[in-house]
Amino acid sequence: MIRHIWLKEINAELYTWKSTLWLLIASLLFSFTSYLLLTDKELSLLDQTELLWLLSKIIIGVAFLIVTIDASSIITTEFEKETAESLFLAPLRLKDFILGKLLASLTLWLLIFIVATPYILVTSAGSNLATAFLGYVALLGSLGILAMVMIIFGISFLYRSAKNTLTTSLVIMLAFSVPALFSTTLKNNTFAQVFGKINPINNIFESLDNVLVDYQLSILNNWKFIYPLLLFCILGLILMAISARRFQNKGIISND
Amino acid sequence: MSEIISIKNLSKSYNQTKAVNNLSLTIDRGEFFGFLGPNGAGKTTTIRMLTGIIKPDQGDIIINGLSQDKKEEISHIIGVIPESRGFYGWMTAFEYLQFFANIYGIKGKEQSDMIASLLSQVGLLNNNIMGMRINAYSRGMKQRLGLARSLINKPEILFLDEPTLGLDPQGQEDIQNLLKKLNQEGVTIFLSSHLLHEVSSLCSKIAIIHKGSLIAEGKIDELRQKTGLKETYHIKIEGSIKPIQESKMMSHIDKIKDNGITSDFTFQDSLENTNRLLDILREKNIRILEFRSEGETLTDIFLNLTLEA
Repeated sequence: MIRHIWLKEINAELYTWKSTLWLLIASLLFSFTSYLLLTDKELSLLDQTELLWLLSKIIIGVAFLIVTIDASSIITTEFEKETAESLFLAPLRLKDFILGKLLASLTLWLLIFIVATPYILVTSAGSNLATAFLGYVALLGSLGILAMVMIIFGISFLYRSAKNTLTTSLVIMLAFSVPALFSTTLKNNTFAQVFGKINPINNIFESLDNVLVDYQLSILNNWKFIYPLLLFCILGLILMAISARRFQNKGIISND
Repeated sequence: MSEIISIKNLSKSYNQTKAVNNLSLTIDRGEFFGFLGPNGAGKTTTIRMLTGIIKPDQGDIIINGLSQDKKEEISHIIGVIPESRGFYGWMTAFEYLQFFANIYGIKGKEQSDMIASLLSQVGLLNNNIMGMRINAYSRGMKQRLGLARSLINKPEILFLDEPTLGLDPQGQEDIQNLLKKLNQEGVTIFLSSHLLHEVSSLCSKIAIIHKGSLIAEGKIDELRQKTGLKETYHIKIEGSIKPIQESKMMSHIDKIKDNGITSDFTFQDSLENTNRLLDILREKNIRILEFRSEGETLTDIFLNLTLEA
């Protein structure tokens, strides 16, 4: 059952001009960044590790943005296009429905990661960081995106509207991204430090900094950044579960 | 006949509004059941509760011996054309039915045979149509596809919410004929419709719901008796109407058109008195050229009952 929902979404969401365009834009962005990092006089003065960290942040940022936009409509479209009623009249478990959709969103992340891989390999050539770069982007990106998608699904069941879900999800993503724009002085502020420690996007960037700039390659050395991501995943799962339960109790069709 | 759907004291409110109020119904296996009511009467809410799409605030629903918490088992024995007519527009009809067949666990040759048979039954098995995306379908074609989807699991009970809405007269007749055939094959049909002629021509039993409450239930004749409404017949005889003018039946005769060669008139009374009139015509050797029911009686019953309520 999960497979059929996943395949439907792959056909509906990924084999479309929309997804192809997204992946094309992502690859153009990665090409442009890599080219600048490798050829620009000032940027090429950066230490290679700094350059890799910058690229990793761009890959994660682009992936978060694309997956957030896609995931905001993957569930809500069933309500807006009135296909949910027919779907749930069939012997389909809500759990299978959610897992199928979740897999489809993670597939989009996988495609972005595949598109990013050549850029990672080229820019990290000669640094011995290629494997760590790929591994940590895959691990941290997967955890962060999994949590974000679960939160988006939770919001989708509450709103049942793509526009509202997308707006709320982008606001959440923006809130998590803001600390990256903080100056060093601001980052030393207690509030900024606490927020930075619980902020999943910040933890991903800090962990990549730890791996790519400070050569702290072991999981243990990055555990302090990984466990907030795991907590973020649990939080996302709880929100999604509560929201899905509420949805099931209220009924597939909401008249209020 | 055994009971296949049993509803007891079913109620559902949206905010302060009672959409369905203490509704109780029983439907027998193999019955063609018509569910009538004006807009906003609670028909769709009732169907959604019966099919497990929304939960009732109170009341019990038993479908083929299964209580409502057995939603998955129930979904295997019911087929539904819901009010919301959403389709995956980027799919072809075949892909669409294939997707639902997969959800029902129908696979392989059985699946492709079933899909071809259903598309043929609803008139969509055509090479030009088969390659089209559903987005390009007309409303009527989508309606036919919806019916095919509702039959994919060979349901024992079919819930239909306005199944011929948006269809042209030929399309309506095709669907009605298919429904008649399914009913003859033993499928119990629960038909919600505002097309009174459709309900009266298809259904063996009807229920009328108004403002969420059941106001009448039974066979059309029973409802007619209940409302005191009489059947109207159109009769055409050879010759003049004069020979029967002395009979007591004349008070029930109306709209007389007598040209001396043939006479047309309408007769409105009970079936018993209609038979007596026919006997009188036979006794007087008057040839009956035409005898038909006016067929709008359900409209009268419906209006009578809903206005009363």
